[in-house]
Amino acid sequence: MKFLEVENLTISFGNKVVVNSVSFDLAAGERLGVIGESGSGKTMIALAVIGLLPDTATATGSIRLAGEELLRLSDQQMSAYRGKQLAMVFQEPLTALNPLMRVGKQIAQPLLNHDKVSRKAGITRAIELCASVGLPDPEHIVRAYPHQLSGGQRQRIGLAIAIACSPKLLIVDEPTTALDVTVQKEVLQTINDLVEQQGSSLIFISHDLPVVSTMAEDIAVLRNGELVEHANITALFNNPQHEYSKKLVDLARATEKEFSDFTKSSTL
Amino acid sequence: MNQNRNLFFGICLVAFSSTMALLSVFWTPYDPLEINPDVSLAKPSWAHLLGTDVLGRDVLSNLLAGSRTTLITAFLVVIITMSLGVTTGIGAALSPRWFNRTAIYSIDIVLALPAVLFAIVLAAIRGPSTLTAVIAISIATSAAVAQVTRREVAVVLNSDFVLAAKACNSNKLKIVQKHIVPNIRASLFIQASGAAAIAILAESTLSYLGLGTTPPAPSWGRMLASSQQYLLIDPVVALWPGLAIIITVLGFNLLGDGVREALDPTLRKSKS
Repeated sequence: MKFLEVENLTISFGNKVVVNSVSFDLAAGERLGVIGESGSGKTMIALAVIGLLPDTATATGSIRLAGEELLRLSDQQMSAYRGKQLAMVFQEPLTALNPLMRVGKQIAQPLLNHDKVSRKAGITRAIELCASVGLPDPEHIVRAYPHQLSGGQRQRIGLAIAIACSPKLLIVDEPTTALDVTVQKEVLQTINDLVEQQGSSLIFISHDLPVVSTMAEDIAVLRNGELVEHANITALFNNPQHEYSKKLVDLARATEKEFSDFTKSSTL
Repeated sequence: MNQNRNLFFGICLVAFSSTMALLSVFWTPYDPLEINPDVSLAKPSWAHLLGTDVLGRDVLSNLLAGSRTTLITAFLVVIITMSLGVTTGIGAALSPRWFNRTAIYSIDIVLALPAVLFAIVLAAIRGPSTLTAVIAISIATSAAVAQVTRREVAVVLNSDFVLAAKACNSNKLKIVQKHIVPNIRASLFIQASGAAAIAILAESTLSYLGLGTTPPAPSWGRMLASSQQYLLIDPVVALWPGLAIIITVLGFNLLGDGVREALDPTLRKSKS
C-alpha cells in the first residue's frame, strides 16, 4: 500500500468533465511533478486531494491516504487531515494571504487550529518557521502585513503556513509562477530543503518542465483532464511516449539550446 | 492629521451636530415652540441670532431642537439597518444556494419599491410620525446594505486566502471572525455612515412632505417646508435648516471615509 493512492479520479462540473479517470500513487517521501497547460485539471486534482473542491464540483473514484478513503469523509472529518497530514501552497502569494492580518498570526493559525497552542507559543513558533523558510529578520517580519513584503517573501510565508504542522504530504501549486527567475530559484531550493528535512511527500504542480524536473523524480503529464504519461524524469526526457510529452521535452531542449547558442555567440 | 483629513473633519462636524443636539436638551435661547407674531420674519439680530420664522419662532432654538430629531432618527436607522442588513447579507452569503437565491430576490423586490412610496403607505396605515419615518427608511436602506454586504462576503469567500485558511483547517466560525469580518469592516463603516447620511436626508424629505415628524415637534425638514412659502420675502430662513442638513450629512460621509482609511493597513504609515 502506497502512502497516497489516487484511482480513477474524475472531477466534473455538471456535464463538463475537467479531470477524467486519473490514477497515480505516491510512496512516503516520494516526489511527483504534475505538469500540464492551464485548464488541464492540475489544480483540480490538488484541491480534490485536500478536499477543497468548489461546491459545484463532483468527484468520483478514490483518493486514499495511508489506506483511508478521503472522498468518503465528511468536511468535518476531512478537517483533521488538512494542515496536519496534507498542506498546500498556493500559486498567487498575494491573494493567498489575508491583507488585513499580520503574517505571524497567519502562520500561527494552523498551529492554533490543530495543536491548540497558546497565542504566544504560536507566534514564537511562527518566528522559528520564518527562519526555517529563509526569511531575514523573522522577529520583525512576523509583525508585517502582506503588502509590506516582496513576492518572494510572501511565497515563503505561504510555505511557512503550509509546513507549520509538519504535513506528511505537501502540495505546491505553481509556487513560483508569480515570481521572477532569480527569486524562483531560491524559493525552489527552500522547498527542496524543507521537504528533505521533514521527509514529507511532495506533489509539485507546474506548467514549466525545466522547473518540475529540478523538483521531482516522477512526472505526470496532464492534458485536457487526462493523464497522458506518467514516467521517471530520465525516461521522460530520453523517450517521451505521448505526442504532448514529446512537444514539451522538445520545447524545453530548444529553449536550452537557444540560450546556450546565445551565450556562445555573445561571448565571441 | 495630514494623513487622515477626512476623519478629522468628519469627527469635527459630527461632534458639532451632536453638541447642538445635546445642548438643546438643557438649553435653547427661546422656547422653540413659542409663537410671537410681533417679530415675524425678523432679520438676524442680537435678540434672535438667526432671525425668526413667519410665526415669530426663534430659528436658532428650532434648529437646535430639530437636531435632536435628526440625530435620533439617524442613530435608530443606523442601528436597525446595520443589524438587519449585515446579518441578512452575511447569512445569505454563507447559506446553501436556494436560501442565497431567495434572499437575493427578496432584497431586489424591496429595492424595487420606491422608499418614499413605502413611507406614504406606512404613514397612511400608522399615521405620520418620526417612528414611521425611521421604519420606512430603515427597511429601504437595510435592503441596500444587505445586498452590498452579501456581495462583499461572497468576494471574500471566493478569495484564495479563505481557501488557504480552509487548507489549514480553520472552521466556518473562525473564517467569519478572522477573514470575513475584518475584510468587510471598512465597507461596513462606509455603509453605516452612508445610512446615517441617507437617514438625515430622508427624514428631512419625509417631514417636508408631511410624512415624517409631525408638528409641533421641531424638525429641519419641516422648517424647510414652512420657509418655502416665504422664500421670496425672506430666503435666509430657508438657508439655516438647509445648511444644518448639509453640514451633518457631510460630517457623516467624511467620518465614514476617514474610518475606512484608518482601518486600511496599506494606507497606514508603517511604524518601522
